Amino acid sequence: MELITEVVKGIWDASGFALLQWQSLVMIAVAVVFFVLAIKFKFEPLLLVPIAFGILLANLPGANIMLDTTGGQLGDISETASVVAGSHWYDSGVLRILYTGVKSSVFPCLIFMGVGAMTDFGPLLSNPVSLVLGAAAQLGIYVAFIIAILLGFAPNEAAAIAIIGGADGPTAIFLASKLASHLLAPIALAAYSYMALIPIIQPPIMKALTTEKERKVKMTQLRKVSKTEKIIFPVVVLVIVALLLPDVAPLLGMFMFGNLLRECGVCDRLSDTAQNALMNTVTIMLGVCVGATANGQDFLQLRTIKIVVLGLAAFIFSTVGGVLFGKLLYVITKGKVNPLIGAAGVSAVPMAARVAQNEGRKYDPTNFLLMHAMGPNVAGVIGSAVAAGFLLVMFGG
Amino acid sequence: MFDYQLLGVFTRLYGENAQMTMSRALLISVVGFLLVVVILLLLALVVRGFSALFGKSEKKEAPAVSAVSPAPAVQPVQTVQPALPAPVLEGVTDEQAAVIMAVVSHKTGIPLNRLQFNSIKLSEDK
Repeated sequence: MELITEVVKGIWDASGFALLQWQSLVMIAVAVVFFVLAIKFKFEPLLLVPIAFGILLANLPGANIMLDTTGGQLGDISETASVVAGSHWYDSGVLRILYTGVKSSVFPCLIFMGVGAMTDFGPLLSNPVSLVLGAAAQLGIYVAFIIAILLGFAPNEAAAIAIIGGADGPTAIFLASKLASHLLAPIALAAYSYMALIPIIQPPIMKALTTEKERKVKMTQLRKVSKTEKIIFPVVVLVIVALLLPDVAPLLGMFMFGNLLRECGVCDRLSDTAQNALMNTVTIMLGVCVGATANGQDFLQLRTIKIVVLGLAAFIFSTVGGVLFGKLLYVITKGKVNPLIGAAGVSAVPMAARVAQNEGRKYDPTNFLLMHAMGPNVAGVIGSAVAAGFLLVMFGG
Repeated sequence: MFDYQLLGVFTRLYGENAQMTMSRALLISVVGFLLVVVILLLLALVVRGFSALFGKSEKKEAPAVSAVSPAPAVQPVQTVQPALPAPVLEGVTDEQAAVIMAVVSHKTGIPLNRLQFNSIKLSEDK
């Protein structure tokens, strides 16, 4: 009888139930909410499902899925990180080992290569003023930076949080892992959550800042862009930006490399792999690893709520910046630019461009702004990368 | 717990133990925003430059191309466009319809404001 009691006690003590804390339960509930958002409401399901599953895995006590046996070499900077005697790096948790891809910025860069391979710069090249709209829509980054400082965050933390306003997941992860890796989980979760919520966040701001007459503006047909221009563009942009801000070269370099694979016309197989197989593989690993950093004990703090609020402020001010600059162009061009396309400058490709298209059609069903909005939309990707480069120069090592 | 040693330009400017005051945060934000605008403006000018360059060479090549396959004449864009009725959508979303219309316009070379779509329906294999 005593043996049975001891066995049962041993099993109980070794089980996750005995180690379960309220923080783990809350995070498991958060994972379930994300599953519902992704599966039932289709909010960025390709990202939210892996992220939610990562949260679930990381908050199962005793599973040690994010255990770092190297004392922090694999990215565990929490107080619980310790060196396990006789252990090797490969004795660490499986997601902790995969997490090195996030920590080293390999995953964000590979994702950017896939995004580059999927990006058509044609609308931007046919209307270069789109680039300035993409710059104006980075306003939220700097407004959020100031507010974050006001809320008491350290400058490097404030910079990492502010980049949420770039509405660009890989850039947010890239910068957060370099400047404030302990905030990676809330930053990544806020960035991706708000990107999914763009169709809800942006329309009221677009409506409030524009008149009906402005929203009804029909823009003229874009000129056809030659193949040569499309091939030269990624190389020229990379050279100029990387020479000015070398810190951002890995991210922008992979983005432009992916785009060159697409446009050069002789690497179709590589382009296809970058857009599909590789992109999907890395998205799975990145999503699960980012989710797994959301450990209840570290995640459930007041600062997480502050980051969520700051992320929303960043998105709002980025949209405001883009729309206001769109209004300025409307005045300068005497009504030829629809200010709604300015909102697409926040990146979040192609969601933000679709929002501009849908808003335009609400007021005139024959108005097609999608291609016009794609210009500022892809310009926003470059803009947020430049902003990240600046913040790395200011606060990076 | 996470007491980061600040590096980069900030430390070089203000020293290792410098505090981030509100005025410094404001200054960094203004400079950062202006830098993004200036760099993207520079890129816009570069794009204008090489589009003018390649636009010219395209125009020179244009007659040879048109001799092989005459393209439909492009009409000047109307400044006042008549309001067209929205197409009837069956089994397709607004986004899918927008993409289909954009593709048709692109492939035919006819501007969207000169195309009229009466309906877009999903046909399924049985």
